[in-house]
Amino acid sequence: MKIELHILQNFPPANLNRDDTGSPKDCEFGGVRRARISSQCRKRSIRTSPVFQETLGENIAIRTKQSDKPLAKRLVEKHGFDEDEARKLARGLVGKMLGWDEAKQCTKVLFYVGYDELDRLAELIHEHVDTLREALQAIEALGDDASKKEREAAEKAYDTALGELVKAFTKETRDHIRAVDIALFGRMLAEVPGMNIDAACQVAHAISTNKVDMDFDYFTAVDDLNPKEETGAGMIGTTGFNSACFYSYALIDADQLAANLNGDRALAVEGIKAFLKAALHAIPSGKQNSFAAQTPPSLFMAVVRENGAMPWSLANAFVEPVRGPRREGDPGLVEASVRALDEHWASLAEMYGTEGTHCFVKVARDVDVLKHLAGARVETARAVIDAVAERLAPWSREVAA
Amino acid sequence: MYLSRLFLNPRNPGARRDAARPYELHRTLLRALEHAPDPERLLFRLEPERGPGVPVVLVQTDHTPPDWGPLMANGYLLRADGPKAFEPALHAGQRLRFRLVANPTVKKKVPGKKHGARVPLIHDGPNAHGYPSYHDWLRRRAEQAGFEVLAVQDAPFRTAPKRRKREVPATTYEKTQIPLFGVRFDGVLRVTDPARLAEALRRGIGPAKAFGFGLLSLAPAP
Repeated sequence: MKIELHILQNFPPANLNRDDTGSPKDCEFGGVRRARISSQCRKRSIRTSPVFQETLGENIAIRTKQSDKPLAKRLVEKHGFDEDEARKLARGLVGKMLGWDEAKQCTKVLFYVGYDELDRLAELIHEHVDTLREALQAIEALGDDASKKEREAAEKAYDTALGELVKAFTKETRDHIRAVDIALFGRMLAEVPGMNIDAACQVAHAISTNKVDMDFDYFTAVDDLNPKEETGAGMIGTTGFNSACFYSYALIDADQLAANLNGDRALAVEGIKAFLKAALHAIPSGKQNSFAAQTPPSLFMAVVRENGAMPWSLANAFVEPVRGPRREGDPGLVEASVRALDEHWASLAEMYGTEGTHCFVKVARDVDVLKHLAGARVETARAVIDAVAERLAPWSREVAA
Repeated sequence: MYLSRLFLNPRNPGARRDAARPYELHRTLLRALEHAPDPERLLFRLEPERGPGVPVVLVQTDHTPPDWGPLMANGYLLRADGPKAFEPALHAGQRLRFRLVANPTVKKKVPGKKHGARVPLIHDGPNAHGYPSYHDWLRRRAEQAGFEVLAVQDAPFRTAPKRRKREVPATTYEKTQIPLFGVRFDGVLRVTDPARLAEALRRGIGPAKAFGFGLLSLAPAP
């Protein structure tokens, strides 16, 4: 089972995703310049959107360099350690995994970790507490007069004990993934390759359906460089921005997602619902204080593909850039984009067929010009998500083979 | 320095011809300097089109403000903004947005010829011929002109199609075309030597200035 997501979203002037020079990101497609929102940016705005967090509650992960703190808290609260010892053991363990930066008092790399995994780490420490405590106390018992050799031996013993624990955790890490975002977006830890998780979703860079002008007026701009004109007005117009109608596409592999969640298909469906809902509401935060570009999508479409049906990105609907109205009576940019997407869907459907494909779409009323996809219309954006969940219900009840 | 912005009239046959042929455009533009007490060179650039129809040309002169009156009067121009005087205040370390439409070439010696040939640097990276890329060219020119390129977007183009195979006789049209290779650089620079940059701004950068290459434009960086 695969779930496709298609969104058309028009933005007023904004700079949602910047490159290293501060201008909006762009790319070439179909031979012309397009505005672009990178997939990293889209994923982050989905992952951090309040909708995602509210829907999934504890079943999400945190990305932090201070994973020792929540871990120590668990040791104290759930396993009755005293605070000082809990802190030392927590630091020792995450430090063993990811390296410990003494100066900054945090791990050397970010740890993307779910709450369930933290619980399990705390349990593991509790189970092995005797060995760990012994090794730790051995180090502390060494006085200033201890020889270098003795000290090294004691530290090595502690290190080995921690290493055993990391090994044990890595082996069973897949059994403890309850964090839907890790299961969706995957995890890459160069330090502990055993904890890597393959992503279950693929997100495309959102590109504009129209050609965008990255042009700049150098005739007017020189005024700001003239010495007399240092009035502060020079700031106006120096931030790059553009206005564009974006097409976004993403694909979720439900089977991979369920596998990442230790076979829990019900949770996988919850995750897919949360992802769709968050994608509908998430808007990148770039330069929003200056532009407040919070325009919701005009087209929201989800497609459920049964096993064997090939997923389709509809980006090629816009390989010929869509144009805004050039004379009176022409359709607007959004309407023309909806039409192009509809036509492209029809041409793909004719060419490849739609067996095993279930499509649900909602288009804002003022631009609803669907012809070929008219049969897939549902009442609201929410109904698109509900329809997907309903379509996945039989699958989620099946026991994973 | 004086900067003007011209909107060519697409209904004027001369303007239409000039938009496609930089040599003719240069000849026409020089008419605005006929009143100049001493001969002066002008720098110009055809700007990328914004929307269909009206070609926009940016023109810069050093000490004579051009007179666009005659070209306005005969319907060649739709509108002329300026000439507007400008002397930018540059200082080291300043970050500026820039545009340069350049003709990146190197001179190659040809035995028996005094001036040799100009080879266009059409590659954007290392190449089998051992020529520098046009990015290398820009970096070197930047160093000479007192700035450092921080980021750049390049768009290579030709003002006329390359000659077809030599066996095929050239048409009259082809004979009168001057095939020039150009790259439009849009980017952000950092000023390292304000005096040199001011000089480069005044004189232009690289060869083929009479064909609409070499005018450097600056604006405050984002």
